[in-house]
Amino acid sequence: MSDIPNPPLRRGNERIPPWRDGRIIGVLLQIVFVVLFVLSLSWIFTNIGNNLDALGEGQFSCKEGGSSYRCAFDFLSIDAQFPIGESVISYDPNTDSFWRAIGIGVLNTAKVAVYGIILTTILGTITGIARLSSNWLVSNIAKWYIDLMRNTPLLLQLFFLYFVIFLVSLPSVNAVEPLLGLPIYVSQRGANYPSLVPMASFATWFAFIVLGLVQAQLLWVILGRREEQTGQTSNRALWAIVSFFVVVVIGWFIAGNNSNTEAALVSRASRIREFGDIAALVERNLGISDVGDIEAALANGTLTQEAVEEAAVSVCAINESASEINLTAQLGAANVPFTITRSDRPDQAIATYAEGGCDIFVADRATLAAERDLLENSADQLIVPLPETPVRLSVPRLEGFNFVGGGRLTLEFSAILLGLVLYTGAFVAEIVRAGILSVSKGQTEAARALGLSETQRLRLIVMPQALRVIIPPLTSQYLNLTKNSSLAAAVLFPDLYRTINTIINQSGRAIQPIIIMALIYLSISLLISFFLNWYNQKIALVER
Amino acid sequence: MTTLPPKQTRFDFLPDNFQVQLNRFVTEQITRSWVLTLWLILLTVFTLNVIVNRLQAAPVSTIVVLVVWLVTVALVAVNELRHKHNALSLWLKNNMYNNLTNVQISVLIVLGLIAAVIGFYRYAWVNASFVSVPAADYRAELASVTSDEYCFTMGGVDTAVSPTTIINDPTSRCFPTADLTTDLSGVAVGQAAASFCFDSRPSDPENGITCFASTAENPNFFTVEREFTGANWGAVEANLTTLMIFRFNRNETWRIWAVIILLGVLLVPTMFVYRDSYKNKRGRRLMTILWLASPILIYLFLRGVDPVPFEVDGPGSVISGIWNEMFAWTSPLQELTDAGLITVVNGRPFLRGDGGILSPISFWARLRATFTGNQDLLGIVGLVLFGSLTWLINRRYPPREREGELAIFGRAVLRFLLIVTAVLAIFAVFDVLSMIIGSFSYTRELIVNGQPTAVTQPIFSSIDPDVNWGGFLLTVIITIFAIVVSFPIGLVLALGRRSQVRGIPAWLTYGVALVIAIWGFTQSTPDLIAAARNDIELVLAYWPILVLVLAYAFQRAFNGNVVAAFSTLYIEFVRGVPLITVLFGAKILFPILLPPRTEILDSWRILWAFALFSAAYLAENVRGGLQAIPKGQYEAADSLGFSAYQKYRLIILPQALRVVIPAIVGQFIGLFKDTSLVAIVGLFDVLGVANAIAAQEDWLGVRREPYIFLAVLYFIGSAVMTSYSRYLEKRTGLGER
Repeated sequence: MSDIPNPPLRRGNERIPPWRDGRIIGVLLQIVFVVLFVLSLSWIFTNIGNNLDALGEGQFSCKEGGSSYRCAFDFLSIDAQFPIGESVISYDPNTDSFWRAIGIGVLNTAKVAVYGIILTTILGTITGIARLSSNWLVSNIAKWYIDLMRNTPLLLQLFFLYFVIFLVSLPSVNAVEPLLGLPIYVSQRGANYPSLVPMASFATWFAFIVLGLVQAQLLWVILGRREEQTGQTSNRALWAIVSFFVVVVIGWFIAGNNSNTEAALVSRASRIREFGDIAALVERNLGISDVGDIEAALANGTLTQEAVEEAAVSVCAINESASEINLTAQLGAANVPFTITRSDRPDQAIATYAEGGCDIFVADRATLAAERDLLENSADQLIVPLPETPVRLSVPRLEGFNFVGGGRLTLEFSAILLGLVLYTGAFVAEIVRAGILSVSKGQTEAARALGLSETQRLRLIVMPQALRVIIPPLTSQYLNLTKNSSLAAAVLFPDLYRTINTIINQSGRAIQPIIIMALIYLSISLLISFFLNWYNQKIALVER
Repeated sequence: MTTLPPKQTRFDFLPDNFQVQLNRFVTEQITRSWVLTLWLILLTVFTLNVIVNRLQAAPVSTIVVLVVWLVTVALVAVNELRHKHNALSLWLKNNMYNNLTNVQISVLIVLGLIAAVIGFYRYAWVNASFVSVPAADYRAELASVTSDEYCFTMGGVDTAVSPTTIINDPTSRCFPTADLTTDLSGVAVGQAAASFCFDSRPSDPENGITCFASTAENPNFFTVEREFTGANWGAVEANLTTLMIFRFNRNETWRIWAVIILLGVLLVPTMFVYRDSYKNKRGRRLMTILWLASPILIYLFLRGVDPVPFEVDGPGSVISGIWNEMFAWTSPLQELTDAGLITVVNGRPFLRGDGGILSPISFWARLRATFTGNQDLLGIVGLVLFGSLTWLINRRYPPREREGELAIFGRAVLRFLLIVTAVLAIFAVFDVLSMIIGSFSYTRELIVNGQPTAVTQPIFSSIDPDVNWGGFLLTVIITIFAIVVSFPIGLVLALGRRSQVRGIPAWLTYGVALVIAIWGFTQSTPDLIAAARNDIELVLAYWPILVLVLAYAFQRAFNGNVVAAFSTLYIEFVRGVPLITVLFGAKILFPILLPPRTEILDSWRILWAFALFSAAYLAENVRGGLQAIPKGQYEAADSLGFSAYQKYRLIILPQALRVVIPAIVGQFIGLFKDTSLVAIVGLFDVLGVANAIAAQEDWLGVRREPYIFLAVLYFIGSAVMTSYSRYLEKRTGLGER
């Protein structure tokens, strides 16, 4: 049996001596590791201290003088003194601090991330579905696009997009043509497109919109209940949409007509008492009966261009104010020739008006009243009301070397957005494809056997199951998109990374900005990760 | 007698229920819903528009496409009615002509593809220029002028030799006088500063409009300005070497070839030896050893060693010598140069010898230098001492099955000391090896003070990676280093994150935290409150609370397990920041975090940044694989008595890694592409070199063609890795069970 000669006597339950007990050694090693970690941290901090001492006292200078570690982040309150290409909020390099510059960087990154996520989802879904198309050509073109995007680096794509396509192939500002007949101008200065500008009455109209939504929802619910009870379809979608639009249109007119904010400052002598009189003034000066005839009159020589320019109404306005857009939109719609002088501030505008530089000074009533009182001949000045609508369409026009009006997408923002969307869209397409393929074919066959239409099959059977597989990797792609937005520095878009880079160069401190940047990116990533985990838990299949 | 049915109409290949089928077709495909009908009408209008457009733009190809399209549609339709498809019509019906929408979309796509292909063909081949001389250096000499034409001999100029000599093979090119676009009536050809242009587009698509301008210095040699209508592939060809190795010393490219040959020689048997795991054990062991040794050789080739590793003049005491050598990382070359032992020519160090300038120092002098008062000596001495002690003790008191606790403890201590001194001795071995390696030298010619001189240079002389590693070489180095280094680190992190080892007991954690908190509250917080300048600092003054909260979180989340805590925090932190932040931090923060006057080469910082970044992502992928293994495998291995190492090496990791091969290879492809980011932090990988080329005077603004070349390069690299991944999946049987 056993061939161990004289098996040794053993007491039961011998205790392992602590110095070679694996468990205790494990814990001891962990403690040693923690101690070493703390020691190396302190060593690093000592090194930081020594190195920064070598750099001089300026690194941690306090606002009120002196220098200490507590004042590490004080330098961020200094004026930034460097320009930022574009920003969502106002920014003045001479008065805004580094903190505000960082905030602008964060907002720019967030802007890219938000638009990028929305557009990527759309593009990725379309491409993923195209990849599953039964049309061999469509499916293969999607495959080539996906392979091309996934196998080349994002930075290369961005450089190609910005330096080879945008900067070289786009026309200069003077040579640009409207896109497809619409007043959209894509030039080397960026893309200028018509935008909607809210006026003062927008708030009222928005209230009507909310009211319309509420009553549409009420109608939806009520008609839905009636459907259930009577079993007859009630076309409730149509009713809800129609009633919503009716309320919105009513609100448009009510808000527009009841608003009294827009006004113009004119002299009594000009005999302008309302908007229609402006056209009448021009007609009187030109000797024609209708401003609409000016084009025809110019064509057949009755009027000269100089006469038209002489008679054109001159307007003073504050740059990029809502009033300016209001008036120019109306004058443009009424075919009244006008020239416009823009000033940056109300006092500059009123000065121009006082010198006789323009016939009309347009602004909101409060500003006009305040400025009129500063004039000497204020008794001769009238404030005439101008009609307005809740939103006005602001169309870009070329004046001089710039486009005025409308919204503008800078070249840099377009480049980073397009590059990111094209790149991440390819990955999202593969995820969508995998998700839809993960739903077993039996589900489709059963849906068809039950007589569900294609739309119902997709909406009720396939997509809910596919979404469970799609959402986790999709959210990690969103994370990748947010982190890849830091490459905007390559196309000179002022995102967070580029702003921090500039701050490091401008202020000479390296550690604090990098810490801030790492913390911000970490927070964004953790936020998106938490959302992913929460959503995952919510829709997870409960297993036996 | 049966009557034959009456002769059918000539459409007798159509079935009888043709009318019914047609009705059904119309109802299903067209009039099923008004949305569908509207969409089909709009699509048809659009298709007709596009066809008309393309007929005007490129009639021949469009007509061909249309004819093929109509024929195939008719074929499919007829076969569909006959219910008898052949292979072609069946494939067409299922893939391109499924329904009316697809019929039109197919033809639209084909027309679009043809337009794109024709355009690209014209750009990339027909109108492309393959002349690899930069435009500024393209010269012409007027050979002859007749009434009909001007003839030039054209070629390139090697500006390094002389600014006027045309050295490329002169090709003769003649331009008809009729194509002259400048008025030369008052100008004598050959006169100084003459300039004239020819529209050579019809007959010279390579050059387009060609203008010649001479200068006062060289009135007979003309600079040629060319307008490229197509691709400028010459730019890629001329800069190919630069794109590949950038500033690597052109005299020493044999090193790169040596590395490539070495890898090739190792790869060929690898494909056969690792195939079947049940035979060729010795072969596999040999190949594994060779592969493990290859990084040393590759390091020697690509980085080299300094000929004398450490300072020649030893420090005063052994202990201070040990300390200095262990923790001082300054370049020994500077000290040697200061000591007058090395001379630097063109930025490269060469040994001054006993026998005179530029000859190797004698072997013994360097050996002495290597061992003067540093840890090498301690290591060798300790190794010899403890090694012999261990051997003696094991001979006299061999290990027995039952020994006293003191004896076991003593052996453990001896073993520990042996290991420590062995580690120190490894440094010594490295130093001696590098010193020996530095002894092998070869003679080559260098320009010293303008004169070509024969110098003796060690074969593996050191190269400065910051300067010499560039282009595609740098891309490959970063990729391979990051892949090879991140794999074990990522593995360890993944295993650490899932580890279940016993953690620090709660009483210890809370006790230490409490002690720190009390100390903080009494010593530090009052001062901080007094010195607080605003609300934030007031809140921060109560940092001891944070310590307690952290201790509680640590116990709660990780049960005191430091390994899991560290791995998890590291992974989540590194995955949360963009790579560019990590690179940026590595570049800027490294000098601040290390003691003053230490230098770590930029290249090492970036390489380690990539490796550590990739390790975190790899850890997550491996963790996914580990989670996919059923728990029964772990339990079976434990019940069979496998040690932890055996369990993971033989049971768990083979299954786990097999499952995540696609994810891991995808991660490595991403790493390969992400090496392009070093362009932003100032290293010159292949993308950075392409940008640098476009900034040169000769190739100013030439970006398109290098970028296209780079895209092809990255594509090929990714395709190679993807195909290797598919091969691995097949070989390991992924998805088969």
